[in-house]
Amino acid sequence: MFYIVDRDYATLILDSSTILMILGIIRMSFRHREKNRPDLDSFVLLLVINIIMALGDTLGYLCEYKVFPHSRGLATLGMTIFYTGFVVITMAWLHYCRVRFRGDKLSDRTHFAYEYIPGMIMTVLVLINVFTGWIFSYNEKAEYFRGVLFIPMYILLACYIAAGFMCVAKYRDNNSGRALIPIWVYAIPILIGGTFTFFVPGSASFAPFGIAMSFVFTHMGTINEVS
Amino acid sequence: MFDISQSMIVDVDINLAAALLMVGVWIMTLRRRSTGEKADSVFLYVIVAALIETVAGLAVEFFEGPVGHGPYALAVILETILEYSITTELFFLLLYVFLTMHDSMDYLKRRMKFYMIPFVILTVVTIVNMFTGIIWYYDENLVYNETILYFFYDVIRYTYLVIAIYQYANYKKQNGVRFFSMWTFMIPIMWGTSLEWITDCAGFTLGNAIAVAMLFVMSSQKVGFTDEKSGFYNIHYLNMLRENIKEGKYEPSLVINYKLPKGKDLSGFFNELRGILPDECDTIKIDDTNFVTVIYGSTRGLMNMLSDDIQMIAEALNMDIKYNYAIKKKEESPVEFFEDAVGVK
Amino acid sequence: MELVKITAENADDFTEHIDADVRCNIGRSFFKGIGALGDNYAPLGAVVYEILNYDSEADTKCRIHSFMAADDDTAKALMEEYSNAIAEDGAIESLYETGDENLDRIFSSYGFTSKKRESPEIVVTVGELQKVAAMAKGKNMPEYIQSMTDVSLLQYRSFLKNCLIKGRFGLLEDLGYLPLAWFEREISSCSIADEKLDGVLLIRRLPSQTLVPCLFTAFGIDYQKNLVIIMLRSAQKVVEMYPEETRVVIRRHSPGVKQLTDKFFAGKKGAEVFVGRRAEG
Repeated sequence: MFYIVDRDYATLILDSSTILMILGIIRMSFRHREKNRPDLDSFVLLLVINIIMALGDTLGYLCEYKVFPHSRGLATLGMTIFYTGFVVITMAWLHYCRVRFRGDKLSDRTHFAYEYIPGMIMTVLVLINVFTGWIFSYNEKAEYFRGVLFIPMYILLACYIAAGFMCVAKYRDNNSGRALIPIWVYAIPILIGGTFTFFVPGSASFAPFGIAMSFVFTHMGTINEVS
Repeated sequence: MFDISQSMIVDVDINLAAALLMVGVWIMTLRRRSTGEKADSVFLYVIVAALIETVAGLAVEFFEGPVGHGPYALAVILETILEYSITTELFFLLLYVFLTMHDSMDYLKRRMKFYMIPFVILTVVTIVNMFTGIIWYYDENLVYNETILYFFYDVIRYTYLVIAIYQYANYKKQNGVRFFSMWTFMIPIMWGTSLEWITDCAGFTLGNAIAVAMLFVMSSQKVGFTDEKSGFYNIHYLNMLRENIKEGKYEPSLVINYKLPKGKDLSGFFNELRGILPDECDTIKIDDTNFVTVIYGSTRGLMNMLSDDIQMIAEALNMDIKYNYAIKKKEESPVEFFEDAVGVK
Repeated sequence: MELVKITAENADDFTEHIDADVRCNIGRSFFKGIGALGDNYAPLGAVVYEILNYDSEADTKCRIHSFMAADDDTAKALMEEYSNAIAEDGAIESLYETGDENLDRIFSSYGFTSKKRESPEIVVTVGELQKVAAMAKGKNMPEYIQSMTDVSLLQYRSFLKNCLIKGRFGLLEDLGYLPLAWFEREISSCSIADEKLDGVLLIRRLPSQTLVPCLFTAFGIDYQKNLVIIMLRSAQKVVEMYPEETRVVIRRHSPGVKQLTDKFFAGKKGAEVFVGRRAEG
């Protein structure tokens, strides 16, 4: 039967708080929405994917390292959702940065074909991971193990995230606007969250919370700069 | 040096997340442009208080029992800082909500004595508690305990929150409130409080940090709609306003379009315009030379006064200011009127 | 007989037919007058009326403030000219209020229907105001409650605009057109916050030395408290500056004013008047 241990509280509290924060921001975005703002629509999409990540993360952490019926299956499902969301959100982040800071349009398909192919392939690999175990796996005791593609996946995610931030940095260089905060400062929460998750397997995941913080701060911070 | 237990990891995780969030919000608040509103000056104090709360909350995990081993004095000092920062944050939150609603230092000064009295009492009690433990204390195992008086201590400081909610609700009844919602702040606080009550983990600190972050996001939205040079709203606000009018949230009754001369320093004009316009109106910058003022409510006799004032400004600044205006007719729909008057579809 | 428009320039020609307190309004934006002149331009009669709701979405109406004619022919000519004039202004109804039974009969003969009722106006003397002024004795008047003499034109106009937007006109249809000098600044009071007016009591002094509070309103979080203090300050000033027998006419045009007068002048009633109306157009 399902049970909760001490460490689960951190996951529950962090992930639920992340979801609450994101829902609050989405609500505020809808209250003051304008039509024909693809950058704001992309931002909301990022937040929605973040919620899905947080939900997957919660399910995965609550079920792993525990022995009860279907704990392995549920943990696998949860982490599959989490990692799928993680891959998709980094692509969505790059898309958001390009739409917001480079003025790209969805109808412009030239970059669409190339930059996102590795991400799409990785998404498929995560989805089929339940059969292959190349990204992660769980044994009968729902103990978590990383697969051979875990580190390459992280490198790919880091590339997409970095590409997005470089887009922001380039926008600032090209504009005579006043950059109030160095761009790397916005990346700190995501770095902390990602590092925590990477180096401390089995600990509470900072990733959804850190990602939400980075994206929201970038969005709000650049709004506050001279336009 | 420290014994680490699972429950301590949990509290450290949560406090760390809250502290990171507050550090981020603090940095961004320090470096952002202001909307010129009086509430902005108080907002930083809210954030600093919340930041100190999260940092103190994080630090005290390492010193208080049953895992931590002191020193006792350090644990007491950190816990005192934590509790007092909650009090301070709630006090400044009340001031922030007040100034957001009323934007008046005079109104605030007139009731400052009333607001300060509980704060002074709480400050004295907090200091006294450090030496006497009448509100809370650490036992021989450095485990935190609350006395019966803690309940009253909490009631007094949460009264600030209650007053803030009351003021917000009252103000909202009579006036529209934009870019602020008390519920957006309250829900994370209630959520964090409930989590802490259920799980006995540091849920309140995180809930509070998220609530303050939401305040930041709300005020940032307003900045995003403000043009830095003129201090009026920007074109994004115009688009949003049109959507709000379509949804029936606002009903414009008078629209004034200004065409200003190119290449001139308009800062004088902006200040004068702010001085002559009534409180309940929005002025929006369309581009460098075109502005529009949207007025809600009754317009009887208003344009007569405004015409005189605009001409007076033009003469005083020796500027060629062209303007035209449109008053909504009874049979016109608000959206049609707005789109025709502003010239946007 | 010749019918003429009465303006500020020729209003004094009709002193016998228009009371001074009504005559002083001629020249205001929505006050109009029609005079009848006989042989050698001798005035025979005059009607003075005010257009209500003129530049608003509500239906335009007219209130007759004064009607006097030497004979039936003059009265008929004035009434016809009045009907034509207000038809041009788009008025749908005419109103009057008078304590004169003869005048009421005259109006009835021209199609007005009337009822006798208590006037919304009550008249108190400065002597009766002393008990109101006494309430402020011994108390420090807050610094932010001031006389209208200390107020700048910009502050006054800003406040007026906020009144106009909120539809607070008091007794003054043409509030937006009236200069500050139109009021007795010394006895009119205001409250100030952040160098802006947020409450006023504007009092007009008529030629007969009657005082008429015209606008009594306040905004902001402290509006209720400020209204009381503003009223006390003005009452104090009126008591200091005017003799006891000076009349103060308070028109109870809103439930708020009625509540106030019931509280401070309990038992005071308005005179019995005839209130009449006639559909126009």
